[in-house]
Amino acid sequence: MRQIVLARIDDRLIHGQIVTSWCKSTNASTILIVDDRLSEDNFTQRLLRAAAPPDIKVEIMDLHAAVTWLAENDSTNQRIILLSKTPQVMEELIKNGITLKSINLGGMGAKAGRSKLNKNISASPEEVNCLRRMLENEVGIFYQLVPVERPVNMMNILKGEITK
Amino acid sequence: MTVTQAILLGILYYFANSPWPFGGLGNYAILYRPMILGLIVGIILGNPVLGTVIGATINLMYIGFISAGGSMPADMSLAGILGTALAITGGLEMNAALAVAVPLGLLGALVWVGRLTLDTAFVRLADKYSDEGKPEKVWIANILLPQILLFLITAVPCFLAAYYGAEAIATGIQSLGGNFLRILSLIGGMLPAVGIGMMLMAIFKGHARVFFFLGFLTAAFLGLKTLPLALIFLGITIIYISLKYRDDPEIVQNTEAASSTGGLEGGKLLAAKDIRSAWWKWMYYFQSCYNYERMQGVGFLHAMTPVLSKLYKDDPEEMKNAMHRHSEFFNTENATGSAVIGLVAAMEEQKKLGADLDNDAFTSIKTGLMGPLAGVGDTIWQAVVIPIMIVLFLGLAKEGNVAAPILYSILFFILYYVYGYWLLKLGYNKGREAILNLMENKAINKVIVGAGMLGCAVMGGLVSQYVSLKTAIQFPMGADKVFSLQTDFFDALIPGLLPLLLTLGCYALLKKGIKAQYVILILVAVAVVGGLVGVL
Repeated sequence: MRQIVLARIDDRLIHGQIVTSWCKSTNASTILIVDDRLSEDNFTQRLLRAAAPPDIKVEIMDLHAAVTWLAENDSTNQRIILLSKTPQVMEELIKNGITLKSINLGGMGAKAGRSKLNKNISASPEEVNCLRRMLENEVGIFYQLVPVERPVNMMNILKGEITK
Repeated sequence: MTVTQAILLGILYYFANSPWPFGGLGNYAILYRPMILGLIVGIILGNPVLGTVIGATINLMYIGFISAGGSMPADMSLAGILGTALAITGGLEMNAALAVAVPLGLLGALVWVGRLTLDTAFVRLADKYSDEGKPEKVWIANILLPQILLFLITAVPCFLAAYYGAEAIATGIQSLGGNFLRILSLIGGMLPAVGIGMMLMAIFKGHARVFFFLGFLTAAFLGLKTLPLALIFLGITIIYISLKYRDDPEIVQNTEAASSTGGLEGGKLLAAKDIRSAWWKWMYYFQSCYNYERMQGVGFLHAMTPVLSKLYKDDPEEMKNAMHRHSEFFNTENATGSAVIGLVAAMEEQKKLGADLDNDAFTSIKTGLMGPLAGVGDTIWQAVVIPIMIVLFLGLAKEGNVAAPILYSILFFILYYVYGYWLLKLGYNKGREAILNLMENKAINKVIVGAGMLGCAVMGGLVSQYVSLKTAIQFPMGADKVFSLQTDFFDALIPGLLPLLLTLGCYALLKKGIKAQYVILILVAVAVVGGLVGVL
């Protein structure tokens, strides 16, 4: 399996925090964006590629292709930042045999159907359940905008959600 | 300190965090920086020259500072104001003032979290105005109430801290005596190494590393100050970059997109002044009601109000609909985001003219652009332009030149508005393909790589000039002679070798993922132990 140095849920995908902080602190060589809709959206793909630092390779794949690609052995020792817009994508990757020990919550913007979990993280009931299922499977869920911040374990907040 | 002076300091802290007088990113790059605040605090307290010197010293610590996408590691404006005030009223020596200012900066970051949390309340109000279809009221939710709140949580605590705290802390520190002051000053002398280390995180790679050492050696052996050093290395960088990219075929593509887009002319329905009015609102108030729920959502809505008022004044249903679609979650970099304002204004105009553009079309273009534009914008401004410009003037400011912060402010202000206006025109006149072409233009990378090299050289010079670490170790050599490790060895070999090693050490720790706060604590421990044992 290829080496994933950060798995992050962030609906803005590549932006200032990724470019100015995470790419540097993780020493990443590659950003992998897993998104079924985006894999057919040429305009946004080009935008995202242009936004990444020049020395970082950007791969944009649908779920199926990403599972195959991540499972491959990698002789070039790429260090991969894995980005998705929703927790469901991460869950599907795990179900398909990709090991993720912890997931970083970076940004899930408020919109209809989502309610607030923590600071800039909002989630729909289905997304909360998805995050909870991953927690039960011993995947850590941590809120952290940038590396210099202390990561916040979302376990208690997510557990609290069910009693609401 | 008089009550009036303390009140003025409180108000200054509010302005440093408000949109006024320079606009969103403008204020953040100008009035928020300790180098500029030092001058103003100095004027308030009757010693502008000393204020400028201390402000510049505190600013050294925050050169590599980046706040991206709503994260805020520390509040340098509070550190700048209270640190300078402490030093002037309490007679604290510069380096000691820096050592006291840094924890104040960490405290100030709480204000930021409080603001983003509390501003959420005004989102409800903006939604209510959207339900009613009343764009003329949005300013209440975006400016009036959030700014009153901001005033309360910034000006009041800063006034109290300045009036009751500054002298007490300074007298307290003075009364603790010589040894304590000496250690504080040791800490302050080493702290810029952390600030420079943070900056190096972004630029210390490839051949730029050689530039760093060259910059250091030039300053150490030739005694060159920052400005001449920067000018010389600018020349070297230009030669390096043009040689490096000489055979790069990609560099010539897309030059058309990067060329000027001509003047801003109105379209069929919108006049140039409507678009400019939207842009001014964006440049000033994009983050006035910054909140965790929608981030710049209310700011974006407010910016669009001149456009919506013009297009939908006779169509209340579409007005409500449009107001809701522009108050959704939005977050990007201020100046570069001007392109989105231009583009969305053009799209609204086309929609009114009959183009088939539904809410989803707007949402997808806005959400698609906001991340990538922030990635490029934050890199250009926060990682390149602001630190390099600050550094160019910091040397002069540290020598007590009050013109340096003023000159920096004027230059930055012009650059920020010229850049923003150019992108507004690009977005409105040429559309999304032009924005994409601009982003794909390799010339931007060339400039960023070049700025990184120049930045590295200047950082090397800064290490030699402003990081201070000396050892007091001496060996007796016969009857009345001593061998001083500092003067007889380090200074004779390479002056400033210890500060260089210290800076590289801080960089290595930061690079390993150790947070800046802990690196600072390590320096504090080194200073305390070293100072007490007599090694430093």
